[in-house]
Amino acid sequence: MTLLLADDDPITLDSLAACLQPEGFRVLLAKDGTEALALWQKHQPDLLCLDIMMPGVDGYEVCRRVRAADAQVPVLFLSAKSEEIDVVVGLRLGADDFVRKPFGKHELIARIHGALRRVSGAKKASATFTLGPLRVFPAELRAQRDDTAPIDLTPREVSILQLLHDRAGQALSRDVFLDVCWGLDYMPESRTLDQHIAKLRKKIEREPEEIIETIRGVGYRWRGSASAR
Amino acid sequence: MQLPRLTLALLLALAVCITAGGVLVARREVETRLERDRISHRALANSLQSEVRRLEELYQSHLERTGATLTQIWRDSNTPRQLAETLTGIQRVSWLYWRSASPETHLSIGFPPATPLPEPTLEKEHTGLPRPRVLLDAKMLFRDAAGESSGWIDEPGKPLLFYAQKLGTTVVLTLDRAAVRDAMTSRLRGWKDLQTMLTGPDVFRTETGDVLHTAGTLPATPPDVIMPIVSRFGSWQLASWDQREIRAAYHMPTLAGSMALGVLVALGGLSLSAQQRRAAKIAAQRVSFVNRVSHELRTPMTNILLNLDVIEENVPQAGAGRFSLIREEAGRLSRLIENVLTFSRKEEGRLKLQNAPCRPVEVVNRVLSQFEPALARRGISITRTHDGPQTEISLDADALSQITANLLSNVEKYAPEAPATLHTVQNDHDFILTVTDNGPGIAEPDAQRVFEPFERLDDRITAGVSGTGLGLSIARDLATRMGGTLVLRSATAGACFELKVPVEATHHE
Repeated sequence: MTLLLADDDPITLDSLAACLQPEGFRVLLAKDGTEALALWQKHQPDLLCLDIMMPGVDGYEVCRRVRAADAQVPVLFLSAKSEEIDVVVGLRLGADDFVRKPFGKHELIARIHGALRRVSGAKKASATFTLGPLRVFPAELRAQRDDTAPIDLTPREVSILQLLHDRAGQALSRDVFLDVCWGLDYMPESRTLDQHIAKLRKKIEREPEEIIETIRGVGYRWRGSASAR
Repeated sequence: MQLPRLTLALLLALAVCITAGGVLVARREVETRLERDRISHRALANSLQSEVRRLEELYQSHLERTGATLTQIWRDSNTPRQLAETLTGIQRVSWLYWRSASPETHLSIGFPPATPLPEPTLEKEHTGLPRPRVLLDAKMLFRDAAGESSGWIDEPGKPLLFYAQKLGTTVVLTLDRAAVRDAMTSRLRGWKDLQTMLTGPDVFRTETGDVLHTAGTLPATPPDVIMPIVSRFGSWQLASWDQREIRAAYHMPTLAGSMALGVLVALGGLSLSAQQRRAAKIAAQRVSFVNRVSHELRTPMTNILLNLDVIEENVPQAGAGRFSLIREEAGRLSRLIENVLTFSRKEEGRLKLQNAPCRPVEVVNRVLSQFEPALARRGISITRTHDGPQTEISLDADALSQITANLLSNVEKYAPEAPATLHTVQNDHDFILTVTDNGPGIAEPDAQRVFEPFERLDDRITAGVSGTGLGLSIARDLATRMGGTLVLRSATAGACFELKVPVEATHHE
């Protein structure tokens, strides 16, 4: 999942990257509108987060040009401007959401999920897999238990669940998780994995180790079930 | 900027009214009379009087001749009647005798009048039937009994009489004064030359007002000069008017006073309007400054919050202790900035909400999760419950988030060391959020006051609780703009705030 982030404030740009990368998002950083347009054309990201006030080409113009070429890709404005007129202009240009500063990581991720969910809702049909009572929609970054509201997942969480699903019944070591889910570009400490698993369990489990089982001294496992395949 | 303009317009209008009123009060119309030539006027009156006198004399000469003739023909009634009828105005012919046994004789001419005419008589005592009489003086009538005499008997209280005496027989003619006057009036009316003699505005009329001749346009005011034309039978009037000029004059002290007052009011209006404009500008600048500063605070605030999240996930036990305090304070600062910005937008009339699809339960939970550490630190155990579906609806998530945060912030400030509940209900019509605490509660008299901006309950300020006094005011305003309500429900203990907003389903589900 690739996100394009454009903001003329380098600290904001760096902070956004620091928040989203650990969640498994691949981020493209642009310090102005011109760079944002170039990166968008080159990489065709899955979602754009744009500041409005940027030197040269502003966020509105970037949105206008992106929308002219692609009516589907989700666009979010992240702005300190929050007057009604700013929001209205942004939404009329085809933006999916308008996130007012200040915001925290969790709010931002929730808004990103919301935008992705609406787009995937429009696209319909995508590949899914199940882990016991949980049905996972990887493209939409969400999971669903039969009787509850959708559960938002980060790309990292989706890849963890995907790995557990693909190797059902196997005890997977921390290194396997780090290799597969984090890759070579990032060297997290093994504690990072534990934190992710803890967060993930909080989201998807109702009883301790309902889905993800801890194998002491090794790592984690999903026992698997006939209905899961 | 509407008020200064309105003030200026009102005071300028008042100034114009005062000045105009002063001009009206000070204005006086002065009439000047230009006297006409009185000599020619008098000459005309004399001419008229001469004409009337000539007619009178002509009539008298006829009477003398007729009277003298009648003294001779008293035995027959037809001849005297025919003779008398040739002259206008004779109503009765009476024959009276000097020292004679012949009875007094009376002959009525023409139609008998409505009231019986008194009979001229020399008899001091009544004979026959009682009737109205005019007692005449025999010595006067027969002072020249051997010769001839004639003359008028025109005395107050008696009809107009003319007598002619010849050799001891007197004929007394009872005359109708009005008939003779009318005949003369008719003669004067037909006098064409008179019309050319009037220059105008003049009128020649009878004493009862019948106009015989007129010249010029007659004013409605009484005439300036009236010259009477008098005869025994009646009178006429030659009336004339002088020329008049009307010009406006002003009472200078009144005029100057009203103008000075008008100028003062206008200057006062200009000054007051300028002051109001200046005050409005200063207020707008103040709001704008607060707006700009708060706006500029948002980007660094975002950076702080994002980095706190990053640190929290990478530093062991970051979620507890002093780090948690930093997060809470950052959250508090964010809410403060948001409240100040919302308030200044409201003051500038630019606060409008933008509905978008969202799950209100998630919005509320997200806010609650931000408050959980702070609530736990103050010994507040909050119970979260929800009834109904958790589907997506269309509303302004930021507004809902701000209202929830302001309500929870109140719980954190005012109801420590006690349990609290946050209950939400979603149904087909409404989304209802109820926050109940077990703090000191809010007394009935203060129930409305807590929703006023900058209002804070006194004992709580002295108790050391911080705040701007904007939270509940903004929360209620936002609730109203969402088409809903925010009310303080009566509770047995503590405070219970209920937000109720209408639900508009989206088609994303």
